[in-house]
Amino acid sequence: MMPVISSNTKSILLLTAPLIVGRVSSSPDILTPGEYKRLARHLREIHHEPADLISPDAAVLIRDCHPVIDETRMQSLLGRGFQLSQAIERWQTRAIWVVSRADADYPKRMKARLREDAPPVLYGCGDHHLLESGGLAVVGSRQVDDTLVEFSMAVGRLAARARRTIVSGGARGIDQAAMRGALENGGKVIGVLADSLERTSMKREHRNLLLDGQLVLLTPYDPSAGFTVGHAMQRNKLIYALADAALVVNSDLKKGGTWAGAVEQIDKLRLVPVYVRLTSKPSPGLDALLKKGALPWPSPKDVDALEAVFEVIPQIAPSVAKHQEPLFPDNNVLESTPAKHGMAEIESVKDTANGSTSPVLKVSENSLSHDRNSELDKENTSEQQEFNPANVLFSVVEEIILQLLKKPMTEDDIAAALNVSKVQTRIWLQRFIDDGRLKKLKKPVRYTIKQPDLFQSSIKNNACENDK
Amino acid sequence: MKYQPDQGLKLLRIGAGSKKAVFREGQEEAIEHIVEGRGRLLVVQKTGWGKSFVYFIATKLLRERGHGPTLLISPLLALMRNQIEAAERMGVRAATINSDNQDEWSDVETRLGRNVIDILLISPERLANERFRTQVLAGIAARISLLVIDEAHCISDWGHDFRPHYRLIERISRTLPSNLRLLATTATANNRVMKDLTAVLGPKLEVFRGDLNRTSLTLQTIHLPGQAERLAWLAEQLSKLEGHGIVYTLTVRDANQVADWLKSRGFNVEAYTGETGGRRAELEQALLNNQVKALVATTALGMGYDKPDLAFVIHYQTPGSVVAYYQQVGRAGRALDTAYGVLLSGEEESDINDWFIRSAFPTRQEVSDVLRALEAAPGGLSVPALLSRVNLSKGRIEKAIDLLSLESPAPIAKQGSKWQLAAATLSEEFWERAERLTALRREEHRQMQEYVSLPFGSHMGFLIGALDGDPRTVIPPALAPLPTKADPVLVREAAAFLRRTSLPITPRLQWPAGGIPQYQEKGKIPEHLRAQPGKALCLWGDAGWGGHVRKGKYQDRYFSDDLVTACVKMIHEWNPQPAPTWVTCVPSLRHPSLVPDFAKRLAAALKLPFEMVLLKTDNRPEQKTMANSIQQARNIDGSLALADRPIPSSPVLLIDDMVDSRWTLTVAAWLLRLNGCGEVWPMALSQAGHNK
Repeated sequence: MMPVISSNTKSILLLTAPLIVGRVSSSPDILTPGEYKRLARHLREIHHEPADLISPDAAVLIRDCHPVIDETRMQSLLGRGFQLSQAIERWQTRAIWVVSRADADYPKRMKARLREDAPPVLYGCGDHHLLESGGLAVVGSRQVDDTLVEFSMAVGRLAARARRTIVSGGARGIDQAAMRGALENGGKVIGVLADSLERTSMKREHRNLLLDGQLVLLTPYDPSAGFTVGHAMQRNKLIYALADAALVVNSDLKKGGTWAGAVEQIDKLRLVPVYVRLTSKPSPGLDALLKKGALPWPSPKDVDALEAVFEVIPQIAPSVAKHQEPLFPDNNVLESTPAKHGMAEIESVKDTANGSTSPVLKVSENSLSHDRNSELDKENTSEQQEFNPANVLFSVVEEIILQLLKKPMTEDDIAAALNVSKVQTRIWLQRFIDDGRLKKLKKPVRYTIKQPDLFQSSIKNNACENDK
Repeated sequence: MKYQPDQGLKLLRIGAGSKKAVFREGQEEAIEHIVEGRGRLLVVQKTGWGKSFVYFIATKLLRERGHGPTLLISPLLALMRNQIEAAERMGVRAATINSDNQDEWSDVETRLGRNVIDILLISPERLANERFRTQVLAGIAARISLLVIDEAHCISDWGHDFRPHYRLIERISRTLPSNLRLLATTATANNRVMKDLTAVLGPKLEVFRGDLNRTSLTLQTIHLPGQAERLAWLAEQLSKLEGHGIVYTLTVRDANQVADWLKSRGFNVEAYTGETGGRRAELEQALLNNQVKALVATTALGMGYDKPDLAFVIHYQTPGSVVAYYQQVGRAGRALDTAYGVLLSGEEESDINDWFIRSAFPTRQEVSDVLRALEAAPGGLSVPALLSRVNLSKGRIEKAIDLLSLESPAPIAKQGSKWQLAAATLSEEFWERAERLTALRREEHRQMQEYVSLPFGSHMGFLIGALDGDPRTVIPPALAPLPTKADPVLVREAAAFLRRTSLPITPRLQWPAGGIPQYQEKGKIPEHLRAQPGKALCLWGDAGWGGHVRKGKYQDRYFSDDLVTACVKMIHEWNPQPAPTWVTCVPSLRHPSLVPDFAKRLAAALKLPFEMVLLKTDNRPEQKTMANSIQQARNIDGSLALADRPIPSSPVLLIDDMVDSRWTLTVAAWLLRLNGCGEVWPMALSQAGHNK
């Protein structure tokens, strides 16, 4: 499949995508997810769509967006047209497609469930129709023993028999075991990757599966982008968003991406019923998830029993129920006004993200820092994982700075606290700002953390502070 | 941004080097359109109209307002030297990256990084080059403010001049956002091409179109079947024609041969082909300065060459299409009142055009061979690795890879230095396009044959009509027709000339990649075991002795005494030293007497003894069925041996009928020298032709 890339998608790519076409030169000042969200909202309010930003008479519109995004910055991002064509060419020759939220081909579950927090663009390889098939998300950690591999493969095999798609993260361990179990038995699989789509799709073992429509690979990150912990974490939400039910095979307690992703589902998003594997021995992580409201996995042995797990409807959190009032009266579509585009995609799920904020933030904050540790440990012991010293260092820096900046600090204070040069400090800070991890406060200039967008809620809810 | 007319005119006058220069019709409108960002623009104007002023002035104006550099994609970079000089006068800093100036690349890269280049000129092939795209272009891709696509008719499948890499430009054009300034230019676009361009560049494409007629040209066609007749005609007419011009041939070999013939008749001419390499600029300049009477050129002297006072364009053979012909002949008489455009038509041209048509696309078998080899190699294969696995010539393998990798999605992609199967299959559309284009080529060829048979006076009208131009502008030719016959005396001399040429056989210095396992040799061939430089009498099927050799090999099974005489003459002129004192030949199990019989007669004529010392020990497929050098080396490996008899220790003349990869001669010479023989001088009747 190679859909024609719409003008809206081109515009969104110009604004938000790094458009890697080789040597990564100075990283462009692309919009963070938060910034793009604000821009999309602004465009909607003034009855425009992203495509209008690249029309011949866009100058006025770009000026009108100045309150949200600086005009010169917009212009230089939108001026990357040739680079865009180069990037698209690179993707297309490698059978990689790209869709944006403004496209009809954008996965409907993802758009309906994550709404403004759905990634503006998705890159993929394989038959995109598979993305509409829902299925069972299987999540768990990278480091697992043979028993868990066999368990996950069995789940994959059963899903294949039931003609239910397996949705997973494509990482080593649980992810790959579940996927392999399904694929080897003719089942269908969605792999939501955190990195390296281009390389992964070129792997020979994936080729026929991609060609035959058995496997589709998907990522919200540039197909050439390498591994980062942050990406790996944020991708979890997308796995749940594409599935109809989820199974947590194993999890650490209060740390790791698996934990954070599951807690976010149970406490906040409630997109799908979340099951946890039943264990004979106590498992602190899984037990805690059960206590939080996850469902015990009924260990289905046949197709009918598996079907039953999809029939549970996730409870609506009380805190969500309190906030039924939608944020935007007319936000059925995210990138275009219905009048203009005639897009009839009415999304039935209303602002799921209006629910609790702070407690979840608290959890994800912890889990972020802990998870980095655990991810690091795993990587160090892993042979297959691609890894380099710069990443190790940066991960440590990431942890320290994010801890430090729970309270806003000036650049000088941060440099002093770390005992490194201001130049180096600035480079790190800029990188976090580019990633959307930090934000800059003005007068005086200070830095503080900003929640990763995929974990971010639209509004603050102080009432939930009590849950702490 | 607003266009300022006074600034545009000022730049034009600086660039043109004249204080009185004014814009030609449409030039200023085009500049204004681009500078003000009013949308995509297609300019259809004949060569010499001054398209380069449009993009150079637009670039300069954009740069002055702080915009990023212009990227110009053109297949004709080598020919833009004089335009680039004009650009530099205007203060437009131009740089080019092409396969001929690799030593300048890093300098250009640095200057690009410093933002001190205003316009970068590259070829479509460069744009497709992975290294260039990821290393050089990636650095400036985000800043390019104007994209110029030269010879835009190539984007269309219906463009006469199918260039596979324009497929890539077509796709890039489709994906470009509409806010990027884009200028497409071409000299020829018939209605079908225009339709395609609109489809690719968008419905809002603005078109500025000039007229096609060249009133100064007197066109004529003359049918002279034999090459000797045409050589004679050229020699006769060139001495009478005034001014300076171009003689076009279809192949590099013909260009060299025609140039050699004309030089032998005392004309100051030079051959100009794709193989001319570094001398191209010098030769272009020599013609511009009227230092040569003519260049004898292939299409390598292409569309962008602009010499306003070119007095004649003569074709030695009929080109494949009306558009190609119009572009070439239209180079004459741009700033003259009168000029000749004469097309000579000969018997061999259909074969050559047919070969061009047939070899433009890989066959299904070739594609499936390459894909199967890649299928069997999950880690991918480099081109040399493919050569040892697939019995196809390097050219054919590269052609298949080129075209496959330019598909989108592509069934193969290059990761590092190796080609790999990608997650896509080759669509049937690929073959449909190949078939459609092949059919189109045949139709174009037929149209040219129709042109050849037209009566004097009706040629220009035919061309304009075929190009969907306005035939009402056509006026009768101003000059009288040239004679249509050649002087018989000159024809005989030309025939003798054609038989006098011989071709060098360069000795191989190294065994093939992987060596020759059965002889247990690899790496460098020691100097004392190599062959000496040799000679071949002719090229397979050429107009000199080629036909005789073909007839001897496949029809008579006997090489005529004329060939013996010709070889004796060649050897005397060649005069290898130390001179061979005996003669031997390459054995064959398939035709055991053909070559030995000829070699014996040749030895007798040279008054040297003939000794059959080499044996064929294993009946292998004929070398000509082996499509590339590695396959041929493997095919000969272990199949030659020496007879059990003493080998004279003095220099020898080693005879074979055909030479292609030279592996047979290399192995034979190595065996002989290894066993005490003196210098080995290889000689073959014919070198395999280009259709390998």
